[in-house]
Parts: sequence; structure tokens; C-alpha cells
Amino acid sequence: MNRSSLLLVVLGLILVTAVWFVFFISPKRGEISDIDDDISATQTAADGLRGEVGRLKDIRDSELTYRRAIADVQNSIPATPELAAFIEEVNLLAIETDVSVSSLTPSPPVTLLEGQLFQPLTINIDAQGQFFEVLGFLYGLQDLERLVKVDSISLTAIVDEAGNQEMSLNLTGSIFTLATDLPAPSLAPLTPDEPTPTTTTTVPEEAAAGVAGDGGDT
Amino acid sequence: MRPINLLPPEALERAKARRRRWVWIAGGVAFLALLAAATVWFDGKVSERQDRLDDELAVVVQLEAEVAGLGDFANLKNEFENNKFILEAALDRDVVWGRLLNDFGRMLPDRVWLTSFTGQVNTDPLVPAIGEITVSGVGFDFPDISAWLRSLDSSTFPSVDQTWVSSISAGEIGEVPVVDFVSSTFLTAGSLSDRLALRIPETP
Repeated sequence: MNRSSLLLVVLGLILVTAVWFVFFISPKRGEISDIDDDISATQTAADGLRGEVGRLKDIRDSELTYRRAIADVQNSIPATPELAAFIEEVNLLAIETDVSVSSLTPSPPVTLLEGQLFQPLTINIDAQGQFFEVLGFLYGLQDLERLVKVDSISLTAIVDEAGNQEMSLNLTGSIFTLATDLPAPSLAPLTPDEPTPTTTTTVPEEAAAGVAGDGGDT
Repeated sequence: MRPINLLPPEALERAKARRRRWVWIAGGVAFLALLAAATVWFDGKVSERQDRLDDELAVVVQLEAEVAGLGDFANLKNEFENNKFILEAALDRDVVWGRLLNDFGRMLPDRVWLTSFTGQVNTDPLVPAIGEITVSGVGFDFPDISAWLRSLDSSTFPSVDQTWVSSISAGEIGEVPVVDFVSSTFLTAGSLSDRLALRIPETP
């Protein structure tokens, strides 16, 4: 065989190999690469799902903690205003701390902003007592199961009828409810300048310490 | 004995050419067989990868089923997070007034007493200051008011800061000379409660 024939054969082999590579091997290599990508993506997804399963199993193992926390929040911020229960709680606290509550004024619900998840109900409390009794009352309010947040307080030294020095306490704060569809009396005022109506519970000074639990509307 | 070839040299050449052709044909077949083997090997690799992908997909399907089976706990977690968010919003800037008043009582200098105390939280989250306290009080002399200022701004009372006295005026209680003063101070993060941490347990 002469050199030109050999060159032709070698070129032929190269050509056949190239054709084989282009039409048989290259698509398979692409296919392998695609499958490798899919495997990688699937493994990533599986890892994510394993993490999710682990997280959910942890939650399952702590189910009681979660349920208790949710129940605590629901007691702190109930689904309905539960004003009657709140008045009773404040009354009981006033008796326990020996503070005389002279008025408790819960403001009516207001129109909620869109997306607002809960309704703060403004309360105003007037009370009298010795300094440490007032302190006990303030601590007690904070420790109530029902969430009470005090936003302002005003204390003034007064002298009672017997000549004892006392503190007069006025506080404004909020209790909360998850009820977002409460009627809002301020929606239809009788006159534009009419002040927002409030419900005031007043207990005479000589009455027993605390607020009369009148089982107000909820 | 010496072999004697009686065939003509052309016959010998033809035989050599035939052998050479067969070698080429065999070489060609071997080459094609090599290519075929390589093709089969690549097919095997594709098949192996596909099997592995199928296995991984089966694992994903199984995990997805497991996640779906634990869906109630995902809802539980969402409910918890929702409640936590509500509590966080409700307890924004929650000042411990009882502790604050108690601290005021402790920090009060000996010769100073208060006649009124007003504390107010800034509920507007855009206002950076947490809140403000304004008090009216009485001391026996002007240095007592200085003692009041030093006492409130000391590091032992971190709940308030930037205490200021806006007025001091001489007066009398009965025949005793006194000074009346009005003072204000700002609430700091030290005045805030830890109710949020107490009411929301640590969860995984």
C-alpha cells in the first residue's frame, strides 16, 4: 500500500470516528450530563425535604409545648373581648392588693385597619391606695393571664379622709382581642363633633375595694 | 531439501494482496467493533445514571409523602408563629411600670420626695424614644435637686436617661423652707418588660 492510500485510510478512520462521535456519543454525553443535573437537583430537593421532615418531626416531638404556647396566647388575647371576665379579674386584683378602684373605662372597639390581626381595646383605670399597694396592683395587672399593656400612668399624692397619705393612680392601657369584626360605634356618629362614647364603671369610695363585677357585655 | 515454487510471481503477489485485504477488512471490523463497544458502554452509563435518578426521585416522592403526613404539624407551627407575631405586636414597648416605680422609690435621695409622677409610652413606632416620665417633687434645698439628677442618671438606674429639671422654685411647707421642682426623663430599653420571652417558650 502506498502512502497516499494509507493517508486515505487514516482520514477515513478519523471521519468515521468523528461521525460516530457526533451522532452516537455526543447525544449520550449530553443525556448523561442532563441526567447528572437532574440527579443533583433531585438530591438538593431531597436534602431540603429531609430537613423539612426533621423540622416537622421536631415540632411533632414538641407538640405539647406548641399547643400550650398557642393556648397561652389565646388566653392572653382571646377571640372575643371577654370584657366581663376582665372586669372580674381587675376587681379580684384590686381586692387582693387592697387598692380601691374608683373607675374602669373600657373604650369601645374601633374600625380596624386592613390587615390588622387583633383589636386593642383601650382601658382607663382610676384607683387609690398606699404606694406599695399601688405597686402590687401594677405588678398584678402585668401578671394577669389576660394581656394588659399599660401605656401611661399618672400618680399623685393625696391625703384620704382619715389623714393618711395615699396615691391616686390613673392608668391608660390596652387589652386585646382577636375579634376583628366587632361593631364600631364610631362609624355612625350622631354629630360630627360628638366625642367617642365610652362605658364607665364607677364604684363609690365607701364601697368595698375593687370594681363591681357587673358582667358587662362581651 | 530445498523447496521449489513452481507458481509464477504474479500468483504470489495476488495471494499477498488477498491477505493484505483480509487484514484491512479485519482491522476495519475490529475498529467498528471498538466503536460499537464504546457505544454500548456509553449506553450503560446512561442507563446507570437513569436508574440512579429514578432511585433519587423515589426518595423524593417518599419524603414528600412524609412531609404531607406531617402537614398538621406545619399548620401547628404556622399557628404558633402567627400568635407569636400578634403577641410581639401587642407587647411592643411594654414598660414594666411596677418595677420602674419601685426603682424610683429606691433611687430617691433622702431629702427629696415626689408629689406627682406621670409616665407615657410613645406608641408611635416612628418615634425613637420609648417614652417619657415627668415628675413634680419637693426637696429641702437646691443641692437636693442635684442629688436627684445624679441619682437618676447613675448607672444603677438604667431604665431612664437624659434626666432634666425644667424648674426649681423656692417655697415653704408650713414654716419649713423647701424647693419645688419639675423634672423629666426618658425611658430606655432597660424599662421594657420581658413578658414576650416569658410568654413565648423556646421551640425547635
